[in-house]
Amino acid sequence: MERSCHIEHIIPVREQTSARDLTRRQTLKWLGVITAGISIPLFSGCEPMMVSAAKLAGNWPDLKLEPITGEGYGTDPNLVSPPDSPWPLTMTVEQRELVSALARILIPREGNNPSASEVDATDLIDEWISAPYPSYQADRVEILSGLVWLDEESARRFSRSFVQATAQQQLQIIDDIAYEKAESELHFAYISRVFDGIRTLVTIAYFSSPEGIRDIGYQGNVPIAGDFPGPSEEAKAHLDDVLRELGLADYAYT
Amino acid sequence: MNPLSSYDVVVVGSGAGGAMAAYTLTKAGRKVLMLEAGRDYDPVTETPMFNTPRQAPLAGAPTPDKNFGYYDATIDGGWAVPGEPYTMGKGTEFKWWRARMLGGRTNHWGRYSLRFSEHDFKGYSRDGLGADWPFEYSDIAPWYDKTEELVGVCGTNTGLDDMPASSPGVLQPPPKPRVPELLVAAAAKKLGITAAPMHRAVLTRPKGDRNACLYATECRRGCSIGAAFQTTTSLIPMARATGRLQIITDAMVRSVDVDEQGKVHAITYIDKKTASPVTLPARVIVLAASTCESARILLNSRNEQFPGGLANSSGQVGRNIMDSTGASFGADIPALKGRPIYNEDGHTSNHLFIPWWGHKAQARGELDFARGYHFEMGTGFKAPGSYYPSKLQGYGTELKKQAKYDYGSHVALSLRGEMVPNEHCYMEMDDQLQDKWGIPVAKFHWKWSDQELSQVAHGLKTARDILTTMGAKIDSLPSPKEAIKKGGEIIHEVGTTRMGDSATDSVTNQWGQTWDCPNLFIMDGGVFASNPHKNCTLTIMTLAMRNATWLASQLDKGAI
Repeated sequence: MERSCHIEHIIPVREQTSARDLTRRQTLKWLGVITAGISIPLFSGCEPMMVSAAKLAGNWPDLKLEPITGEGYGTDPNLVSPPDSPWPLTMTVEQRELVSALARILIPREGNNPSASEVDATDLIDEWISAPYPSYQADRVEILSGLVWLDEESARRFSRSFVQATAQQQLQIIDDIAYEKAESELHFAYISRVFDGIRTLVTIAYFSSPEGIRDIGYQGNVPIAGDFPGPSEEAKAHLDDVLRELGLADYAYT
Repeated sequence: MNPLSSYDVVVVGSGAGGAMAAYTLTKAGRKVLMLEAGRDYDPVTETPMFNTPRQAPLAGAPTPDKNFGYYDATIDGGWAVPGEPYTMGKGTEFKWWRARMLGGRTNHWGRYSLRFSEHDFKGYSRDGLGADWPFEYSDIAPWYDKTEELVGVCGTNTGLDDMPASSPGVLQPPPKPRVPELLVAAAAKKLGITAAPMHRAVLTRPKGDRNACLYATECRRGCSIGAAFQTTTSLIPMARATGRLQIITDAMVRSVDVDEQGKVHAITYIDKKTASPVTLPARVIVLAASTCESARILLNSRNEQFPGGLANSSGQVGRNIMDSTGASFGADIPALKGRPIYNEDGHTSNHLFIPWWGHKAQARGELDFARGYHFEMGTGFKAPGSYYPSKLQGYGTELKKQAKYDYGSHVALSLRGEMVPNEHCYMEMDDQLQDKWGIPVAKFHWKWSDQELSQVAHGLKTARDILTTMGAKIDSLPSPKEAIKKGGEIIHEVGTTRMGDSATDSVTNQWGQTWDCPNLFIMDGGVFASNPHKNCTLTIMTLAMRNATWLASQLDKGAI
């Protein structure tokens, strides 16, 4: 991963994941706050400048929104039967349409597998940005600004909103912001981080749905009578190959 | 008849220490009144067994209301308890996890249950840091056996110098290791480091009314079938079955009251339902409210006779707080991408871990820190939820393919290490602030020393070497200061009322009996003289069993 003073390092790197400690790290790699590896020392003083430069170059709308406050689900919610709707959803019809369009682009219907939009990715994102907690409200500003950016960018290029643009036009924009290279292009640097956040949420929404769980192949969450069976024969054979390829066969655990 | 009309001992707290004390005392024929600051809680009906993350708000993601995610068992707590703040000295970052529920933090703990060794109990004799414990390993080994037998611990006797053996037949069989753990174990072995089955308080064989693990649904939610140990499905119902345990919930203890001779004679709590104080007579009091809460009670029990707080003639109450050090370092492992999927839930936590291997190198003076650490592993085909560990690119078919390919390929190694107590880590009472019950709140002070930072530096390099040996590409490491968790964050805080051989530098004797008040005992993590890296709960329970047994014998003799 590139290690230069660019937007990826603007926000202090949060703690790395641990087996026991759920943190925001385990929720979202928000705005590239978390890199796959580890932080490098920040170049002091350059970050705010880089943010400003990226926002300016990228026509960032920078919405000023009053945070949603109010009651969360509290410190003693019903865990067995969670609330269907813990707080009011707040996205407009237009915002939801745009998010649904992004969800269909990010994870489209393929064969028998539904699109992310069909498994309520839009509801999850709406619930996320409507959650009356500060960090979620910080995400709301970025996501809603990102939606405005997509519409404005579409208007700049095609004189129409993102959802009214043709599929080909939509993908022209997405192609510019969906890859790592965009992170180092000043005018796409900011939106690419926000898009990455939306992408992570859509991915989470899809794979945590019953259909997505089947699609990714997760086999657990079923009761086992008797001892834990351990790896399948196929998994063991694969491990043997891996150990051999890494020169670790002589060190195999017994 | 007034149900409170008679009891021999008041036990404050229903977690690891309090429930074990109550169980042991009631089994010995003593009547116990237990006070719990939180609400009643029943894991049989309240545990979200098999719920999927998506059934929870935000796909179960952490919030300020539920810091470890929606399904974490903790009630009315976490890093903040509503209406019950704590404060910190300038420059301090300290995190204090509390629960306000019957069973306390045992309802969600990690269940790692590793014995301390003679090496662990005698650190001061070896390196001159901190304090020794006032007994030998051989004194406590039989009590570890009894506790492991009662609690139910799976694991094996490995023969490693960091893992004292249990007596034959005590441990239950451990579950088979899983693929990423086996790969870590092989890579570590190449570096001369041995992985071993974790010891966990999870049943792999039925025990009494408790079922064996069914290898699904995270233990941190609690366990309705009683496989993962928590006091609410074991010690508390067992103590209740004697007919000698009464429990008052929503009872937030404010102070212990003493007579002119310094003997405790009453205890005062706030009934949270009415917000009014209640004072009950007490012949013997066992504080097991948690390390920092018990110290808080002692410091808040100060009076003219004991201006520095009760049982504090040594000045050590609130001093010597130790947490475990924590740091985590992870990477995507190319060789684990696209691997064959199988049910990898297991008992939902480490089947293998890496015990401390550096005793000999340390003895030879090759290490620039005094005490050891171990690694836990975070990996596997987890239930898809609000967490996606790897960096994503693109969209559409390509994105989905990548997400599926990367699934189960991330491995994190989490260090848990022993810290050395230092003068900058302590708690006192805040003289400005009271909680909503009118009780002065704790004020924490914290600073890691070079001991801990050097240890974390060593751990980060070792984690990098293991991950690199597994084929990970790693181009940089965080500094120890960036990587080390905050004080309290590992939730292994101990030491505020340490035990010792002398009333001048410790708060209790080896039985948890305070030097100053013979009928006042401490049976939580506060009594730890040091904080070996091995997770504190098993030893809290073991000491509580041993010391409550001693207390019962003293009562029988009329000595207290």
